[in-house]
Amino acid sequence: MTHQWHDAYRHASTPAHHLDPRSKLFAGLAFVGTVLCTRHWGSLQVAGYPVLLIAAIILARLSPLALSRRILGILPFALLMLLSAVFSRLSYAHVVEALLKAVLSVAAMALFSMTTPFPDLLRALEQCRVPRKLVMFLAFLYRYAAVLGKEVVRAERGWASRTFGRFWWREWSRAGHVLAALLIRSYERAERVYAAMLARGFSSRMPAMHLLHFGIGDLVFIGLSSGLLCLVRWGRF
Amino acid sequence: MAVALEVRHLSFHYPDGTAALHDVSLRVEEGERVAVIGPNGAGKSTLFFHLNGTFRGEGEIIVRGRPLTDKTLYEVRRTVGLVFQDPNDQLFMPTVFEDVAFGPMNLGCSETDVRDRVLRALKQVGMEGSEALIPHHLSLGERKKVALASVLALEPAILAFDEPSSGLDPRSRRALIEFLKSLPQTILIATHDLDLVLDLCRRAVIIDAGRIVYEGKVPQIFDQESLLKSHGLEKPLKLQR
Repeated sequence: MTHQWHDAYRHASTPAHHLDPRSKLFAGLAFVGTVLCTRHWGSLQVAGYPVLLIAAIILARLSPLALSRRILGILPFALLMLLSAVFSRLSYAHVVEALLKAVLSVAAMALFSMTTPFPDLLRALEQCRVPRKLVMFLAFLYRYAAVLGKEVVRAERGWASRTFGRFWWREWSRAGHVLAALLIRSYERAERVYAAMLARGFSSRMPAMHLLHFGIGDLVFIGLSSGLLCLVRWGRF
Repeated sequence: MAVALEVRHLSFHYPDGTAALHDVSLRVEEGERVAVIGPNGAGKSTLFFHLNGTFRGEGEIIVRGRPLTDKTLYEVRRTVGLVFQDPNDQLFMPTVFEDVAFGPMNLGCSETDVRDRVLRALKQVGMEGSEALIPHHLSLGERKKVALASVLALEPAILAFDEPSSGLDPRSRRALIEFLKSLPQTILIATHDLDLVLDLCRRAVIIDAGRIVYEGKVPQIFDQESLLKSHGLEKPLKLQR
């Protein structure tokens, strides 16, 4: 069994992991939407939104370190934002507000991806009537990113074993050959995958099954999270 | 004995003009296990892609008495299960359950029937409990088993395996041989693994450069060292001692 770089999911048995992905997706998007639409940041909002997130992190028994690593992924974008703020002469308060919105939104989505297996997210999207072709595209991307990733690693090893320690920038022009080879291999694999689909009766429509279960717990979760979110957004001290 | 599968004068050219099969004829009886052996690029996989209509060449394919045509295509695909060499090509869905369920869902089975078929097929290959797993988290041996389950879930009468033992360690290979022996279906195996052929099949055909060059009983073929050598093959290790 191997772990893949593109799998954010951390397995545990907590209420957060057992919720229907649709309810988590709804709560996550509601949180992001509310945070982004908050114009005036009082002390309740500045403290309330992070507290809601921290409560969710505790409930999901996630390591804050693992979550921080995922949030750090937006650091380059945040720096870019700061740089643009310097040139556009935005006020300090506006920059902090934008940064806070970005960090909170990314943290909420990271929390969602760490408690929801990607296949469950796909099922949730499918049942939320996201176009089936788009869902299938994401499913193939997820499935074959791992396969392609392994091929890249093998190509890198082959490259390293024949460049004898020469600096990569001297050989960069040949990287195009490696990329071209990977592209051709992917194309050929796509043909074989399509053949495998045909061999199992595929015509033109992807069949779907209802594998999710929306229970009372999900209803309670949605009600509670929406209530708390409204309280933080519109509440007054 | 009834004929399970018949290939008559099959020829096929790839779109770039490469001739892959020339006038191939083959007859397999119900319950038979037949090996298709030959060097790399001989046309074994191309032949197998024709058996369920994935590729369509010139000539005739008759599956259980019914010629393969546009009208019978889906029925033929239901009858002939093709297990690919690389399970990464065959397992394209995000979870094991969805992958094994893909075929039965395309057949139009009800959700209860799909679940039953998936659980039964996974149990048959010893992968019960793996329904929620993600294919790229499995080892090669496990992926091969799931790929086999994905075909068994269609309940085909004929199974065609393309290099089933490639990449397997000796224990997994042995387990695979025992498993294949236990299957009641008509089986065709394209392979280089002649020891596997010796263990499993009574009859074999040698294919080279897209032509069937020899057909006979397995011991008879393996006795002819010069024949094997001339077609890039070698006597099984078991017979070399």
